[in-house]
Amino acid sequence: MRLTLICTLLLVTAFFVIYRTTADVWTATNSAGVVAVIFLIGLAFRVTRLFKGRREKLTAALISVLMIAGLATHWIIIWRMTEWQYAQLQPIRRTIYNGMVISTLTTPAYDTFREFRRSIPQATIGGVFRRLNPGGAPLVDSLITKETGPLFASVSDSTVELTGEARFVAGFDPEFVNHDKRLGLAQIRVRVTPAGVSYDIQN
Amino acid sequence: MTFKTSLRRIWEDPLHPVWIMLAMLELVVIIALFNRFVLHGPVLRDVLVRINLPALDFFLEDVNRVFWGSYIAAGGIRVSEGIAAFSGNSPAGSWVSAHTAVCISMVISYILGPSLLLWGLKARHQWVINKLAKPSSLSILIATAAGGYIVTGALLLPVGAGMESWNRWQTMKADSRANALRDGAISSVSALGFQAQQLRWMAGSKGGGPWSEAPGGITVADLEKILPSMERGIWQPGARGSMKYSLEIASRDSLTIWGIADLQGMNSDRTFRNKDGTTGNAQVRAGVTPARVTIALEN
Repeated sequence: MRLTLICTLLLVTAFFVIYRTTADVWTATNSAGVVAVIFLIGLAFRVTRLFKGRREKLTAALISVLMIAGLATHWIIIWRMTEWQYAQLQPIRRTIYNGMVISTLTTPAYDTFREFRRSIPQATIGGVFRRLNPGGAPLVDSLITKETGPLFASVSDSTVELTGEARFVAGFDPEFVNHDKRLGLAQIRVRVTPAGVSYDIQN
Repeated sequence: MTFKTSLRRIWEDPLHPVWIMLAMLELVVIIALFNRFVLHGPVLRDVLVRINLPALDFFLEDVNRVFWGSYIAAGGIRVSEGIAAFSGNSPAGSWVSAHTAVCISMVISYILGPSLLLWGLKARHQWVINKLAKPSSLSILIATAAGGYIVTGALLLPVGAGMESWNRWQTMKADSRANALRDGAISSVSALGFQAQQLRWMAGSKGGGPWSEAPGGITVADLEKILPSMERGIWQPGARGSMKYSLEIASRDSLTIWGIADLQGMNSDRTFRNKDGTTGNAQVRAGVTPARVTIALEN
């Protein structure tokens, strides 16, 4: 009874303290699981002692080992599988963001380039962009949605640069300095020059 | 004769393993009825919906999960953290009722349940020696059955469930690769289509102009400078090596690009002939004109 109470207290404390310290549910669960397994091994010894015959003792020990090993195996599989699922979600989110921003920014970029090619030799890239999108910034503002995050336009005669920066989606490099000086967020730059439209997934 | 003797022994021993097994079966029925009529019944369900306890659905679906599902629920919390991060929320670190439930479930599954079973077995041992000793045979029967029920689910079911979970995980990995390749094929042929459009709009002196009039024709090699950026941002690592492209010019203002992924296509009979000579692989087609890129999933 006393051992049961002590182990209950230890398990709950391990879970609570480690979760509060690491903010990681699996670290907390695994730590509490270690307490549980130590308790179960102790219990298995006591169950084995209940039997008199050698064969019964061996059977009880074997069943105990099988059950604890089975539990540990399933536990580890669920742990690794859900960590894998968690890790998969971040690139999926980044892919959705990249696809959305590329599609949003390349439309005005291709329109500008096509119109520029039609208007050669009088036009400049910047001039065409300004003509198609009076004001420039209002166009970019109208493209901003909850999904695309902030967009920035930089227009000169020879180059138009449209930059999309995520609100919260993490990029590849956590140290990357974004356009507005935040750190580590996904960022895409679409560039229109007389040579064509290109885009670069910067982070 | 032997059968009759055995039956009499079972009848005379209220703590015979047969009675313990029957009590465990009774627990199965009681819990099933509890799940059906109380947990999923109109009154409690309504109360729980109104309280809206976050992330407790896993336990509220089936009360057996309180006894057996602690680490599965922990995995559920981890995945729900990832899903919340999808919308920019970061719940990691905050203690919600599901964490309490995982903790309680672990205590019941691995401490209280097995302890109850051990206590029941030891008390039965004492009872066999002295039938008048306390506790009563009924309380020993209930404790042993309840402990046995919890231990069976918490420690015996995972032995078989491990293999099933492993297989499910491998299927998930294969599905994930398939989706990444299919998405990669769709996005890359559309990017190649846009590259082709740019060439169409450029002057012949700069390597552009009508597609059928380009000196030497247009090939995938002329367009694929876009692919490294695509690979970095859209695909998963290694996907590019599993992708092939094919291009055909139909006229000065029309061409078609195919993307073929090393992945079984939609037709399960694998008779579909791909543009690269293989059969049965996934294939995406981009029909390109100067004004439009049209994507179709062919297989």
